[in-house]
Amino acid sequence: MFQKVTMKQILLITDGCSNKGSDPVQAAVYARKQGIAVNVIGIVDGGDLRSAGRQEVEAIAEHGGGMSRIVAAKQLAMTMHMMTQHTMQMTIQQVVNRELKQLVGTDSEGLPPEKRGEVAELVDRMSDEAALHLVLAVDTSASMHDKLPTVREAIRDLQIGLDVRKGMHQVALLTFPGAHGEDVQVISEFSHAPDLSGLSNSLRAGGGTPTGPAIERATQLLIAGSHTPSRPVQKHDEHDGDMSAYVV
Amino acid sequence: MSSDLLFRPGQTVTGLWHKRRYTVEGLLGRGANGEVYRVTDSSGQTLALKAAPLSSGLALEHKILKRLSEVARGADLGPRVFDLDDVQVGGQKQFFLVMELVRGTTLPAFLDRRGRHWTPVLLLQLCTYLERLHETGNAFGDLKAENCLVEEARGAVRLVDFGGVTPFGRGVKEYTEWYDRAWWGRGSRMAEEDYDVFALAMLAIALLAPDLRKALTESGVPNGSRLRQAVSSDARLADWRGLLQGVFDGRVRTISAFRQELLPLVKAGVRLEQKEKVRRKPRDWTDWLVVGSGLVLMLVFCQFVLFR
Repeated sequence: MFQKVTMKQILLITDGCSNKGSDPVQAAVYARKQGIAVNVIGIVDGGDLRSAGRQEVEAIAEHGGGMSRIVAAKQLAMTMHMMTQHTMQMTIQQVVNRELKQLVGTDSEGLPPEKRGEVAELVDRMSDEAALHLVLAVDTSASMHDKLPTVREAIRDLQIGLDVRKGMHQVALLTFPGAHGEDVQVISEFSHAPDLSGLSNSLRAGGGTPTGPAIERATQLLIAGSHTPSRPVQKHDEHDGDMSAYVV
Repeated sequence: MSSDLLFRPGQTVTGLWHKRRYTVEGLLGRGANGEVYRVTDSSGQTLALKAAPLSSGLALEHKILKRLSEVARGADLGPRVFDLDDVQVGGQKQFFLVMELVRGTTLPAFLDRRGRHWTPVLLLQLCTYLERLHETGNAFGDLKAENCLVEEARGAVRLVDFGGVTPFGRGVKEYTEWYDRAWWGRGSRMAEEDYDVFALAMLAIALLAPDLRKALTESGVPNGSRLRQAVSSDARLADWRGLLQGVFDGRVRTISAFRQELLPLVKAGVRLEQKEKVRRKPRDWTDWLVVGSGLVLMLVFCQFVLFR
């Protein structure tokens, strides 16, 4: 049963407050209802991430059931790795908790602390093996200009981390605003290794920050994407079988 | 996410399950995955308490530390663990792990005082720890100078943060760019024996030529060719060239191979230390002679001035 779990995440990278289009917090609420976790990273050096921006970053993540972090550009790669990892675990933990509740009438936290190690190991393993659909939404408004090489490097680094997972992953990349003045542009559809070349070409001076539309578009991509066959291409090791056999 | 700390100094933390009480003395550090405090238990023993908003990471760390204490065979592989429990903080459950508080000096500070020739000796100890850890089917993952402390009196290294320990064949949980072979484009981020071997080599470079790390990572983009260049030309790495190049070329892939290459350096280091000791002794004595004679001269001078 866990093989059928597809973890759906949006990771939003921004350095400013939204100022165009729909409300990003409402968009995050909707995404969450669709079983999607919305993580947000606010970049602080340069840009205009003042307290309004910070509050928005926190609010989007809170309503989107994800995490938020405000970091310097050079911490971006680490933060993306940590967030994606954490969120995968949280998603699986919820699935496992539901199973546990049915089987033993309590979730993991209801077990004595020293018994949780087994469950944690299971969760760890499941989140490594389950499929991941991730949409990266990158703010490409004017102030992000000189940070885009760092963002590209960080995405490449995230890719390195995802490549060693046993489960499959599909990553799509969109920018907001798009290269031709549109609110959102999908520069790489779901693929095992997204094409990052569009990330520098999609630059333009000025333009607003349509964060809400970006989250909406990412949500659409994930809903559509989950209809494509998502069974992981398993790299079988000797004890890979039906994962439901691992439950308690 | 709030940036407030979970606990304040003086606060009492009482476990919901085991009811043990800890008094918070101060913050030792905070990272992406939690906060570590110095605490005392009811018997007055000083301990380290790691607190996190998620139970799974701590539960795994607890499990691995327990397992390590079984295989350590007398080596102080990991900190001893004492408690794993939950606590209610402001309407929310938080989770904590109580461990031995490892005291010691950071590696750079230790080497500054005792000399760089101690580097191979410290790495040799790490080899032993890593070997024991690998026997359990795990890689250390986040091996770095900041995760090691030296007990000055014995010159013994201790590893402190086991949050990055990852079963072989899985993606490394926590890593630091400088030590990460994948970041340098020299392999995957898979937990394997040679992942830790690479980190050991990078640790050697960081300890022997501390400024290199800053110079080579400044741009935020790894520069593998400059790294190789530094290894082949930096005078401080001269004796280590064979070992380091062996790791980069994939000739040295296991801890035991690393140890083999390290042994001549350890011997050279020990010889140097003995020489230093011999040299230090008479100098201490002559130092006193200089100070003493200086004092006598000054007294004579004072007398001369006062009783003229």
